[in-house]
Amino acid sequence: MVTRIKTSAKPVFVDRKDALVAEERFFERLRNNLHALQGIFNPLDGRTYDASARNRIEKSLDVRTAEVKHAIKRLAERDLQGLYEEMPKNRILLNEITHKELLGARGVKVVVAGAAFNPIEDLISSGRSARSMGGEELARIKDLIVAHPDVFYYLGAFATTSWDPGCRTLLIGPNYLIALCDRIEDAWRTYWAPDTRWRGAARAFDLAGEEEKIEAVHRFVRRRPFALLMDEMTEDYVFEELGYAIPIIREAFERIAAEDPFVRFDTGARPYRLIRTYG
Amino acid sequence: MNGSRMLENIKRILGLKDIPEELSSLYRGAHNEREALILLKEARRRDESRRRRALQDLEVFTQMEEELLEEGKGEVSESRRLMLARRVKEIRGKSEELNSRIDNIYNKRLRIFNEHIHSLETVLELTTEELPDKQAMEEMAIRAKELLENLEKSRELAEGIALSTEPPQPDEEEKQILKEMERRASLEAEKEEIEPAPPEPAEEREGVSEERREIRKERPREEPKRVENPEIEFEE
Repeated sequence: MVTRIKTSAKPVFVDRKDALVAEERFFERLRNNLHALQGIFNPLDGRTYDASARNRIEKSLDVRTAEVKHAIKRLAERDLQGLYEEMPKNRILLNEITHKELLGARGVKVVVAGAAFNPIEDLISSGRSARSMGGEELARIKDLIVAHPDVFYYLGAFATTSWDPGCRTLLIGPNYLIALCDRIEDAWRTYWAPDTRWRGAARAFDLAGEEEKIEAVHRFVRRRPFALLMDEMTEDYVFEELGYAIPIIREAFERIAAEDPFVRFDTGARPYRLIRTYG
Repeated sequence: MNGSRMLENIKRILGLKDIPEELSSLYRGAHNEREALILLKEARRRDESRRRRALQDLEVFTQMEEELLEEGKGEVSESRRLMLARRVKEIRGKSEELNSRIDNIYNKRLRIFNEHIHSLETVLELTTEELPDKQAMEEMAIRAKELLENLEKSRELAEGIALSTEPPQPDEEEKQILKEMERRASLEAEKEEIEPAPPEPAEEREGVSEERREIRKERPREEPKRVENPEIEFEE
């Protein structure tokens, strides 16, 4: 019997610049995904609405940006403007999908939102942080965004550091679904609340392309030789860590095994895994 | 790359369609020493890289074991310490397995490969220059010896003949001619005794000859008359 043990993960620090860049990239990718979105499902009325540009209104909420400014004023002593420019802004981006009935006014049916989460106080005071984002802040922002009970909200919450495991319990509501996004070892990672209502909307928060994901799995495997040696590099393990779909993980495993003569893709038993071979 | 693919590549490089196993016992059906050497070197390279990989894996195990022991040292929870201990036990088991693989398989096999490669290289080196056939060499040596012996015999014979040969005996006519020669010689001798010729003074002759030599020395060598430019001569 093999003892599975979780070793204490080393904290990954993010500085102001990294956080700012990551935040900008998150919104850039989210926008790209939204442009590619043709229709979006509203679980409240069971209808799929046209999500093309003419039915989409992009809005930006400045509430949290103002909070960042206040925090800088409170914690920093000099060069406030310079500091503000360096800092991530904890932005919120709303994309309202509207629809006009034959006889009626145009109304918002679905909102696809993106929100960035940063350890603002740490970044102001010490310039860097490894603090993960907690459930409280997530719940606060969710309440801020989810304002109308007859509109369905899909929210992509991006943390430049990481998320507390407890946050996973807060992702499902009657008129909202939340996806937790972060970055692990230079790879985009998304955790979707397990819910059948996601349908095609889940793609909006899938921030990495297929090749990027395969490359990310490559890096992940390469940096964990111990898991490979202990026969623990399973597709489930990679799924837990990176959140990528199993077919993508298998594709990456196949490529790794084809490239490395000392690695074999063992499909003899589930979960499929990569194992060390010297043969 | 597995063994069969490597073999396929070698066949392609060597332009061979197939290498039947039963053709040769050199190594994996190689046709000749050179092919066997290539295959063996490939096999050695594969084993070396296996050993290198195994050693790197051992380092990973050692490092992880160290980390877990460190973690266990400061761990207060008994259950967590027990889990860490179990994990270390597993790692040690794997390390032992790997060490045994290195010692019992790779090291031994590499020694064998090295030995065989050395032998093949020696054979190839020695066969780069063709040696003459043994029988031909033997025949030639015998022939050379015989010829030398014949030569020696001929020489001895020649010497033997030279020692035993008497001077040729003249026949009757020759005897008469010889007598005639002797007679003439005695006649000339008698004539010289009756009219002796006045001897020339040796000193005088020597002096004259020396004088002549000096004259030869002193006389400057006549320069060949140079033919001047005819036009210039005409103007003068």
